[in-house]
Amino acid sequence: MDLKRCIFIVALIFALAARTLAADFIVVVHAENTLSWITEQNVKQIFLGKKTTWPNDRTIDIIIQEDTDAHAGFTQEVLGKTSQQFMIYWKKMLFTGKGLLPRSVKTDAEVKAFVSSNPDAIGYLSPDALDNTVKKLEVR
Amino acid sequence: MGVARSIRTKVWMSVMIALIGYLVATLSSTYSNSILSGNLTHLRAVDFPLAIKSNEVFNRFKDQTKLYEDAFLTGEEGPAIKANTLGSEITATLDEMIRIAETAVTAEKMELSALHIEDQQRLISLREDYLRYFQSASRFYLILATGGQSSGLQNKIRLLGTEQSLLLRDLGDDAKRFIASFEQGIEHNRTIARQQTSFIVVLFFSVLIFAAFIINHVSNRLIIGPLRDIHEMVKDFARGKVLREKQIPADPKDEIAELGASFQNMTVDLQRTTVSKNYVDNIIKSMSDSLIVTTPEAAIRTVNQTTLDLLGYTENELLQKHISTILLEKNGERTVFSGGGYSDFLKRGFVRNVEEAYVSKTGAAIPVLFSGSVMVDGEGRIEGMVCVARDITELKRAEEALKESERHLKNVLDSIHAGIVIINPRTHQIVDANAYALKMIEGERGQVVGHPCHKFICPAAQGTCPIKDFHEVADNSERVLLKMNGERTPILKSVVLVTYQGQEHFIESFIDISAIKQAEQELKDLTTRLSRSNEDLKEVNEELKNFAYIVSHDLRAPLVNIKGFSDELHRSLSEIDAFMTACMPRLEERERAKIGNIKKDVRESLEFIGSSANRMDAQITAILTLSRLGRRDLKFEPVDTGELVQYILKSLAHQIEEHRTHVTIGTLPVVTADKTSMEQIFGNLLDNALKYLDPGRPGAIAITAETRPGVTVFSVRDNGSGIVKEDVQKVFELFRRSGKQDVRGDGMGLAYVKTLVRRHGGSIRCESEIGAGTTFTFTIAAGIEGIAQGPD
Repeated sequence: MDLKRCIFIVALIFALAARTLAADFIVVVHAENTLSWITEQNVKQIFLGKKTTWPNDRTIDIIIQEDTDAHAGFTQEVLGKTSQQFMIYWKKMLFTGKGLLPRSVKTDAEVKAFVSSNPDAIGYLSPDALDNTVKKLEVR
Repeated sequence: MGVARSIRTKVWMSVMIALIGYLVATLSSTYSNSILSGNLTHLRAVDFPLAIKSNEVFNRFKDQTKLYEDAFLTGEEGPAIKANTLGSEITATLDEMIRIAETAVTAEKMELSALHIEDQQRLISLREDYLRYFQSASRFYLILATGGQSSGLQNKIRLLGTEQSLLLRDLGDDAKRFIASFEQGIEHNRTIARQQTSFIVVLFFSVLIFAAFIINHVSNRLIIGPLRDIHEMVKDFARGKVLREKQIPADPKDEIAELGASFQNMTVDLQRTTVSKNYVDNIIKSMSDSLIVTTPEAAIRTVNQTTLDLLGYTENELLQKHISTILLEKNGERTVFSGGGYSDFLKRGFVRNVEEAYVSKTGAAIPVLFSGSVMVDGEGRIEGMVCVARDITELKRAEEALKESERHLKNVLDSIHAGIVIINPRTHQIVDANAYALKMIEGERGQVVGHPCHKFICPAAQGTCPIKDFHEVADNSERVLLKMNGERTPILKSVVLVTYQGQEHFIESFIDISAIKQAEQELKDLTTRLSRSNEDLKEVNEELKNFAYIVSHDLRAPLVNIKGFSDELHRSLSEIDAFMTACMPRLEERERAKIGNIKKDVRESLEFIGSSANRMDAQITAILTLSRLGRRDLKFEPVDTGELVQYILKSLAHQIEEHRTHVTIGTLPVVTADKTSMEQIFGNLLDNALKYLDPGRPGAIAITAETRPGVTVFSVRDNGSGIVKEDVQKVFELFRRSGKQDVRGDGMGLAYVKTLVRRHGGSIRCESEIGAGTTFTFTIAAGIEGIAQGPD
């Protein structure tokens, strides 16, 4: 009886931790972007360079972070890769001539600055850094 | 074919034809193999190396790219240097390929060289592309690997990547194209090889058939034909046939023709000198008569097929047997080969047409006409016997049938109940006579046959034969037959002339008519007697008629007296009566009563006399009438009976109406008759029919007529009350009335009718059935000649 209860509690903690982890980042776009939500699949395709235009046919400008918690959470959660795998992926894309490396910054503030100044941009932040300069896209 | 004469030449010709065929097949197969070989050389020198090397370039380029990628990702220098060394190898290989293509262009024919020029140009441009890429890549990736990682180079890297992808694609395509071209070349050659194989097979068989045909033809013409001719000659010779006169030319170079010619010469020579055994055998075989040749001891040596067929033996069964085994000995009668017959045969040397009998294998006797002769050699020694026999079974059978037929004919003749005598008209001799004729002549056959006919069975003297000398025709004519004892018999005779075995014969057939003659005489006597009595009868009848007339006429006078005087008595009695009435009161009672009685008796008597006289008067009148009818002269004229009947019916219309009678009148003819008589006949019959109708039902009367040979038959049928059976025949009697006496009549009507019908040569009869009706049927003779003028 005690053992079962222990297993249940541990499972519960993990589940809660996962939810906490999932909340390490939010996807943001320019405030005037008409979208209010996006599928996780679309986010993945955009950040792996497989989807390059918005519904209005404008080129998507992606911005990524380097070595932040939000970056690690984002690559792990959404793309299913480690930060290193994500980097090698893009280098291969570059080597085979299929795309240029995405723009990368080191802080949430730089992300916010780029997204707010670029109407076709998309990026991600840690939830704490969200303010009204950018628009959060709900990932479903 | 004057060229090929000797057998060697002929055989060599055939072999040469076969060899030429073989050569053609071999040459064509060599040619096709050389084509195939050239193709394969090209494949080995050009297509195969190009395919291998293009694949090699492709793989090396992939390796190089991989190495550059490693250098780019890891930033290591080593892979980049390694990749750079691969570059020169790739270039060298490409150069080699260009050179191969170039040699192919110079070596090949037009259509292939065009293909290889294209290859060459593509390879050159590919090498240029590669060199351009390689110059950038060799420098650039080495720089990147040695730390020159600058973000400004991103576009350059990407461009190089794109170029590299395009090259990879082009090299891959090239490798695929060369490999495909190589495979296509192999496939192409395989197809060629298949086609050539088929072609060679077809060619081989064509050559085979052609060569076989030619060889067959040549050998037939040159070898087999002449040999067959010789074979035919040999066969003909063996059969003993006369050789054909076809001359085979003797040619010293043609061995076969020479053989044929030699053989023909030989046979012709042989024919001249000897007669073929087969020829003799054939003659024996084709004989239609049986032939047996024996040794001097009469053992069978030779038999022909006819003998075997006749007796059912095989040849081997008969050979060496004694000839008497097939000769039938009939109940000790000797044959040619038994007892004294044989010694006679040997002594005379022959027998001719003796009837013998052979015994077949089944034991059946076969009658034969046998002839034999003894064969003697030059020194008079007996060599054997030749026996020829002809089967005469059919002949015997026909003979037997003829005999049987003759026996039958004789039986028939003898059993006929008429005399038949056959006479030779030339000698007048009796050739034959049947049993009945002999019986009539009352003589033996020996006495009759061979005797001349005149003054023997015929009363005519010699030279006065009515048939032969006077040419009378005897066809059922009455003649006289003389018996042996000289008596004469009346006969009815027919004579016909027939030709038998080339000789004419009279066949006389006759029957005895003495009985008929006697009967005829008796009949004649009888007729004479009959006519005499008939005359008497007529006389008596006439007397009787006269008597009836006289009696009735004479009786009438006293009857008138009786009637008159009885009337007179009546009147007198009335006077007496008046007188008596006056006297009566004076008489006594007793006397008055007596007188009264007398008066009454007298009156009754007178009345009785009166009525009897009246009745007698009526009867005498009737008899007189009848008598007159029988005596009246009838006037025969054509009478339309239909019209007559209509007329009578009109007068009876009232009665017809009264009895509701339906009258049917058939087709009634016009007859020759006395009209008054016919009126009386029909009037009486119709009156009677109406009178005796059954009041209980509607009447029906039918009058019909039928014309038969010699007579006309009338009938009157009614459906009246009918007549009882026992009265039917009495209706025609005088004063006879049948049935209920409630109808008026004097009973004389049908008696008159009967008399009148009889006077018309006819008769009348009555058929009746109580309750059903009565039919009167009467006939009158057709034509006046059938009717007697007076009553007989």
